[in-house]
Amino acid sequence: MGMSKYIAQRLLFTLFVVLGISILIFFITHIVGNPVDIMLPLQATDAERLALTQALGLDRPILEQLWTFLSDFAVGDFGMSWWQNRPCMEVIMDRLPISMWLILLASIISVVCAIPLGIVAAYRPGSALDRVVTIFSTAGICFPPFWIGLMLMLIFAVKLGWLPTSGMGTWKHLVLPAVTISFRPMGHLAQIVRFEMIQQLNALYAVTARAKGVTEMSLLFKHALKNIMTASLTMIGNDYCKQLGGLSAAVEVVFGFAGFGHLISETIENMDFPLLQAEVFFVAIIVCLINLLTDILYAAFDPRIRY
Amino acid sequence: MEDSKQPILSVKNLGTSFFLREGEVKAVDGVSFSLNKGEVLALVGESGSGKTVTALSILRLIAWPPGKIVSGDVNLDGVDVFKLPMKEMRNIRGKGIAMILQEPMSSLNPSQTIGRQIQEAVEINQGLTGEAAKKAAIDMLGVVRIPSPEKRYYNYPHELSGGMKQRIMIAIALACRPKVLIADEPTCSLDVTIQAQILKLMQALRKEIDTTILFITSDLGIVAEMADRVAMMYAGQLIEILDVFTLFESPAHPYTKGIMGSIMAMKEGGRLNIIEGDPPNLLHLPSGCHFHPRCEFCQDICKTQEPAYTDLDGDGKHWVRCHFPIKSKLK
Repeated sequence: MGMSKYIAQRLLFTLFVVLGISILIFFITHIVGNPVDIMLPLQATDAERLALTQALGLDRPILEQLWTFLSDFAVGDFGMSWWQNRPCMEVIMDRLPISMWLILLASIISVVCAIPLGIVAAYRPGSALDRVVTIFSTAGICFPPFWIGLMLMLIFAVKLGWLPTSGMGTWKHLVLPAVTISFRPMGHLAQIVRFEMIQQLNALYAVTARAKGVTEMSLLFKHALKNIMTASLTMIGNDYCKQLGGLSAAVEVVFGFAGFGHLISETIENMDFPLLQAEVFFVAIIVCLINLLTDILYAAFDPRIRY
Repeated sequence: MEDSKQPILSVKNLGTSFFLREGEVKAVDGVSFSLNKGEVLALVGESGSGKTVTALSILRLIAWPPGKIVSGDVNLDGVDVFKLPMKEMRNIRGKGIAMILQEPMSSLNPSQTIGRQIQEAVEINQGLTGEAAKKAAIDMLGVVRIPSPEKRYYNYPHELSGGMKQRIMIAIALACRPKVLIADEPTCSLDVTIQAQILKLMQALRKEIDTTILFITSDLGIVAEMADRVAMMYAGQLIEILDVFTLFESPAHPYTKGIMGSIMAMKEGGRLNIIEGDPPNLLHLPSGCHFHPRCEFCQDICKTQEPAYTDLDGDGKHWVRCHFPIKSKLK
């Protein structure tokens, strides 16, 4: 099967996933509660309630509602945000791209730091250096991001004055939030790299390589590094999706960064169901595309994977 | 145990242990042997008797923890291998001693072309680079009888069969131009017809390139075909060294004799003679001679005292580690 055919197949598959997610979103919002109760003040009259119910089409049969919902989604009509009173699409497009860049920057920082850390730890498992890396990576995973963010802000913005404390606008505003976000993926990735690297260095092919006179350095970089890439890519893609799906919210709030994570938390606070539906829809699409991208990249590192 | 000729590889009193939570496992214990230039010495024993650990120890490829070389000397052509700093071991590995591992399926890097993996051996050990190294790698593919080597150069390990992979392993080892080649059961994971092909190839190559080979195997048929001399291992110790004709004629250690006896019985179509009992647990080795619980000639001394090596014929050719070596010929 050719690569392009594979990609076409996967895109088709993505379509089905998104359809499934949309149906799920529809039913979940219906289970959560009657939006009329949320939208109207408590003292609203029955007439007002009925009017809104009809305006929202909630009196129609459920399957008809689902059909309207799906066909609107299909043409990119996500409805109006209750909270902001403008199209959901517009609200999301204001906030999503900047967060995608922010989290991409965080991913790059985490990869650049985690791969050397993991390799150093794997080179001599059990050594002091290995323990330092393990403690550091565990801390990166366990410490709450908002706390890390506050500490970094305190040091680099307040004490040293190198970077702005919060807000958006220049590349400088991206640095602290990106570094803060990078801690958790860095911890995950460093541990994966360490574990995978230890496996590689104990693999039989490593004995073959050493027996022909290959040095430990070329064993690490010419042989093993390529073999740990599939697992690492899985982790990188997975962490990117998690951050974009809302994990970055706390950090964005701390740094007053008007990004997508921040938007999700605001949407939930305001019980803005149409906007939340649209957000989930976008996250689903991005997760599918990133999974597809990692699957394509696998083939670049592992010759046994061919599509 | 020394021949009059200067040996190219000599191993003296090699001991390698694995330190596990349950205690020390002496995987190799006081093993000594030597190889003369151009000869094939078969290291024979059942699985777990320490053959592979002996080979890996010679190359100092035992991973600590849990494994550690606890005693011994290895001398390769005048170089004291165990006294070298680890950095200089890469001059021994490859062009000094190359090794063919027993699992061709997993002994090649899955993400590198086989050509690249042979070429790496060429570059490190023959000092060639670029096109010359590539040409040498392609030539090696031809040497191990891989058809259309120019094309195969670009194949990945998963694109080859088990037998082909083992040929690649042989090519890598030979591309090192080693003084001594260690072949660790190179045919054990292959099916019988492929085994025969690989053995034929190794025999042909042996004539072509005149290497010294330490051939690790548990297959006595292979021993008969390949070996000049045989070293028998049991529970981490070398129990008998003898030439291959003596092995089939008059082995002196009861264990060796038991094994040879069972083959002879098979050939005559009689009942299979077996050695009673199981191989010992290396964590709890029997006292004295490790073989004594299974030995039909066991005396009191065997239970308390480890036997020393005896030079059976006084000519340094047949050594046996037994209190009561058998003098009679095999029936």
